[in-house]
This record gives sequence, C-alpha cells and structure tokens, in this order.
Amino acid sequence: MSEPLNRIDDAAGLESRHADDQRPYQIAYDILRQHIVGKQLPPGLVLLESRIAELMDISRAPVRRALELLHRDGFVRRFEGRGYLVGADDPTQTPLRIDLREAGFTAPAGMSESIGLFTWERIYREVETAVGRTIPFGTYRVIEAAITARFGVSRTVAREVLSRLRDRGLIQKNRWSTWLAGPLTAQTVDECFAIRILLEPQALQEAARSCSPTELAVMHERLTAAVASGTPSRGDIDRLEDDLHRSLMRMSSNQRMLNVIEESQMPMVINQLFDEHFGPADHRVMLSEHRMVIEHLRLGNAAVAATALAAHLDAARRRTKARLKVLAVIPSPETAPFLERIH
Amino acid sequence: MRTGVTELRVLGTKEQLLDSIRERAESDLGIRVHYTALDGMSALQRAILHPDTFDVYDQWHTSDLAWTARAIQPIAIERIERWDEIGTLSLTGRFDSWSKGGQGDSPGRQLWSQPNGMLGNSPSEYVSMVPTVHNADSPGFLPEARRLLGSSEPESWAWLFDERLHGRVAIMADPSLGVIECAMAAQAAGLATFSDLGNLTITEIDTLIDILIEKKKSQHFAGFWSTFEDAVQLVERDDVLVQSIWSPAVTALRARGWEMAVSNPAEGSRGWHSGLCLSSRADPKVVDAAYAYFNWWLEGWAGAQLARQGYYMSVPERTRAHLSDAEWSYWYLGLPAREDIRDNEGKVVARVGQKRDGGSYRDRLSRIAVWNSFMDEHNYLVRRWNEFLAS
Repeated sequence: MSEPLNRIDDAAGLESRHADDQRPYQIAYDILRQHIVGKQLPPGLVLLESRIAELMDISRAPVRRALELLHRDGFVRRFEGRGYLVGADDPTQTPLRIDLREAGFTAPAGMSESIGLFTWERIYREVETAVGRTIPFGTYRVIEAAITARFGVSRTVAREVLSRLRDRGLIQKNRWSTWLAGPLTAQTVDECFAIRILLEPQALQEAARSCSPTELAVMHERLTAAVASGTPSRGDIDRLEDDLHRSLMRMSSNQRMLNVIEESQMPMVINQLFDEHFGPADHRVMLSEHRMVIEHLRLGNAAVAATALAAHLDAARRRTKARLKVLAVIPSPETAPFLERIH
Repeated sequence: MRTGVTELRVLGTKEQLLDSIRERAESDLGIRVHYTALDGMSALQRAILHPDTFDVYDQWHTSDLAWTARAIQPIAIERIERWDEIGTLSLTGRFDSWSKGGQGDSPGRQLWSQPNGMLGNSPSEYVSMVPTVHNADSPGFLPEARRLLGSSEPESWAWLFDERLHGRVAIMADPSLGVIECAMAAQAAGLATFSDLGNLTITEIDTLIDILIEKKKSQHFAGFWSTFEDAVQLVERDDVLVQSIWSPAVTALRARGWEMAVSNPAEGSRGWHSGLCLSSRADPKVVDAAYAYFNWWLEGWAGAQLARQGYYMSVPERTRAHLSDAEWSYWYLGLPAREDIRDNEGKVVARVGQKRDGGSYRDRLSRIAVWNSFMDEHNYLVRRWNEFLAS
C-alpha cells in the first residue's frame, strides 16, 4: 500500500495546500489508521462516528470523511449495523460493541487545541482576538471577502467564522445584512455584568458539587502566590480569572448556561487592553475578592461563595467601566484587514 | 537644572499656568517651577500616557481618569495646612446642604480615595487632588447678537443652535465639555431631551451627534476652539457673535475693547472645578516640593491672580486678602465696580458702575445645571465627537 495520506490528499482536492495546513479529516484518518495498524483497537470493534468525534473533540463531518477513506483503503469495513468494523478481512467476525476508549483508543493530548481544529476554528481565534481588541474603539464592518482573502479560505469557512462570532455576541447583522462589530460601550459592560451576576453564582454553586479539594487548593495557592508577589503579571491575572470564571464555571453541567456566561465575559478584553497601555492596574482588591470566593468554597460554603462572587462581579463591573473611560485617550488602533471602521 | 535647587514640573492648561504665578511660587518657595501648558485634552493625554513627565498636574475634572490609570497618587490631607479652610462648595458642589446642586461630576464626587481603590464622595484621609479654582460657564455674546435676536429674547443655551445666528456661532472642541454644552443647547432648542446631562446614554449621544453633524454641514458653526486664545481669535478674526466661552477669553476681549457679555441662561450653567494632582511617578525628593506648592496655592495669592480673569478660589477668604476691596466686591460679590477693574496686566475689564454678569459668587455657582463630567460612555462619546469635528 502506498502512503495513504498522500493518496487522500490527492483524492480530496484540497482548497489549501499549505504544508502546515493538515486538514482535520486527514488527522482523524491518520490517528485511526495508526490505532488499527498498531493493533491498539481489536478487530471487529464497532467504530461510531459520534463517539470518535467526541473523543477527538472535533465535529462529526471530518470523522465521517476519515471513516469513508479508511473504508476505501481497506482498514475498516461496513456491516449490517450503524458504523464500521475494524479490519477488512473477516466477514464472519461478530461486531464487538464496547466503548472506544475502553477498547484502547486514545486521542493525542491537546489535539483539539492545535492540530485537530477545523480550518474555521484555526482562523476563528485570530478573527475573534482582532474583533475583541478593536470594538472598544468604535463600530466596524466585518468584511467576509477580506476574511476569505486574508486566510485563503472559502466563503463557507468565512461564513462559519462569522456565525460563531455572532453566537459569541461579538458581531450582529444590521438591516442591510452587513456584519457589524462593536461598539463595546459602558452599556454593553453593564448588560454583560447583569447577566454574569445572575448566572455565575448559580453555576458556581453547581460546580461546587463536583470540584475537588485538590483543585481548589491549587487555585488558592496560585492566588496566594499572586498576592505575595505584589505585582502579578498580566499572565498571572489571566490565569486567576480563568480559574474562577472559566475552569470552575465549566464544572457545572448546564451547557446552555455556560454558553451565555461565556458570551457575557467578552468585556474582559477591556482589562487586558488597559494593562497593555497603562501598565498593570492595581489588582489587589480584585485578588482579595477572588480569595474570598475560593476560601468559602474550600470551607464548603457554596452559598456564601456565590454571594461573594456576585459582590466581586459588581465591583468588577465598576472597575471595567472606569477602565473603559480611560481607553478614550488611546488613538484608534490599526485594524485587521477584514475590519473597516464605520465610526 | 541648577545644582541643589529642586525643580517642580507642572503640567496644565494655558488658562491656569500663568507666568506671574510661576515666578511668585519660585521666589516664595525657593524652587524652580517648570510649566508645560497644553490644551485640556492634550494635557490629559500627556498626564495619563506619560506620568513620568510631570510632578504636579493642574487640571479640571480629569482626576477620575488619571486616578484609574494610576498616573496620580493619593494626596495626604494631613499635609495640606489649610484643608479645613476649603469652602463647602469645593468639597460638595453646594453651598448649603439643602441646595439642589447640579448633575454630573460635582466637586467632591470623585475626590476622596475609597477602600475599594476607587474615588468617591465619602471623606477619607487621602484625596485625588487639592481643590483650587472653579467657575460657572455659559455662552458669551456680543451686542450684535442681542440685536439680531431681539431684546426680549431670554438668554439661553439654545442660542448656540439659533438659525438667526447662522455662521456666527462657535463652540469648543473639547469632547467632554463640548458634548455637555451642546446637549444643553439641543435640549433648550427643543431638539432633544436628555435624562441626565452629566451622563448621556449611547442613544442620546447618537441623537446629539446627528444633530451636530447636520448643523456643521449646513455651516452653522464658524469654528471650534481649544484654548481661550482661540476663542478670542474667533471673535476678532471670524466675526463670531455667540460662542461657548471661558472667563479668561471674556476678560481678554473686554481688555481689547469688545463688549463681550456672559449670558445667564434660563437652563442654568455648566460648572467646573480644578485641582492640583500629584504624579504617581514623582521623585520622592520632589514630593515635598509638590506639597509646598499645594500649600502655597491655598495661601490666596495665586487665587487672586486667577480672580482677575474671573475664576473663584477654593479658599475665598485667603484670596480676599490679596484683592482690593473694589476687586473683591466686583468679582466675588457681584456689586457695581467702585473703580475701574483691571486684569493682571493692568488693562481695564470693567468700568466704574459695571457689574459682573450673573451676579455674585453664590448666585452664579448656585445656578449650575451640570458639572463637567467624564461620562460612563466617555470612550464612545470622544470617538463620535471626533467624527462630528471631522464631518
């Protein structure tokens, strides 16, 4: 058998042939093939698209494509039921229905973080960062064609990116169907924090049930170290914000609520821009508020921790608004090629 | 810098950084004082982005932003000798606890350092600034404007938008003050209403900027000024009849023979209050000199210099000691001039018998509708205002 990856590449008629631009289905193909060839997966194992997608933390489309190609290349075969069976040569073998992970499948660590991302996911981060960092400075038109040109992707991919940005609350369409970003105003800050004050304490109480004492101890240690350092770096602050407002929240199982919370955390970019332009703000009060929440969680007082979190968010709302005002002295920054200033 | 002599770098605006004050401070304090005089917005930008380039920031109502950006540091009240003599108005925005007070960032609202690290109106041991001069501003006009508008027309901010004065109106270029004045004008002219003139919403800002862009495109405005000198030029060179105006421009024009009057609008005036801030980067050796400068300011001599261009000082009684009785009566009491009233250069700004427009200190400062403010939407407002200026 010749080198399978080359063959799929040829067969797929790729839009982009950048050396580092390996497509998600290629990666999924490669990983599954290695598992099969290396006999990490038993013959006859039922391979289901949804479970593979879940374990690889990517969507189902590239998995479906990878399975089709594995079938074409003789690594898997079809059978009466749903999915494919590992191995091509034993039609009498009974389908083995056990969980993929139990059967020995392991997705490479960090796959979804880097190599496993779809094209849209890879460029999404860059577009999202550019939009987030620009909207405190005005209202901008987001140009689909310029995204296509900038990243060398199809309009479908550009539209996928735009639709995700809309889901995150970063852009919206006006009545002439133009995509608009911003402005990020004090009103936006107030609205986002009003949502966070309602939902984050609720998510925290749910998270408290599944959060381990060790995880809390680690977070507490990081906080203590930041306080002791006197002037924690922006990276330290981002990490602490992540601990409380992302990692802990995600221990809640209510995905709908988490989506809304994440969308409402968008004004955090103001604090990052502020620190970049004016040096680190005085984070002492913020650190003590965080510590109050974590300490109550460690003591098992989830309700009190939730109240402390609400108080912290209200104070953060006022700080964020004060910092947004100061951004007025900064000239509007140069924008990404796919953003056009309206006002 | 001469060896052994401390140099104090003061950043501020042209209206307040007078050479006479600098020279007197140098001689009284035995230090060198270096002034950097810019327009208000440029001074704010310098203060926030380059706090290492000044020791003292002489400013109006920007301490809120400078504090958030950590460009200034807390000032210890115990080191301010005359703190207890500072007038109630300078600490609360009102002469009496029962008076109404204006909207916006009235004095005191952003003065004291609070336990949460922000500024507020609850007294504490530290302040963001030492309160100094203040005033109530309203549009200035020439007799020709009154002739065009008719003698019975009540004085109003609406004059800034009045079509009968088309092409002969000027407003200031500063966004934070300009927006407040234009909002007062638009409301007085019945073009829009604003729920809080000191804190406009996004929708209100958009409404106002749309009105302004339309006015500008129709060439209603003859110009936009940044310093009082620009405002003087707009009258002398560009035939402006009505404009938002600061007191130093009024006295300068009067000294040159123009009959510039200050209106007493039915809607009230726009108030402002200045103060001296201490840079967060000031060298500890210079901090003592800065405190000496603050204390020197509250002795009254500097306040008297600025009284002669129409400003009031936070320690009126100390200021009085450095004014003649005739000056005190004219500038602070609003009484008819008993003798010709002169500016700091000796030029006459009011003849015998003339009264200050608007009356006494108490009368004028009691009619403030809104104080200078950095609104919640300041960032949005500045960018939309710039769009208006560029339209």
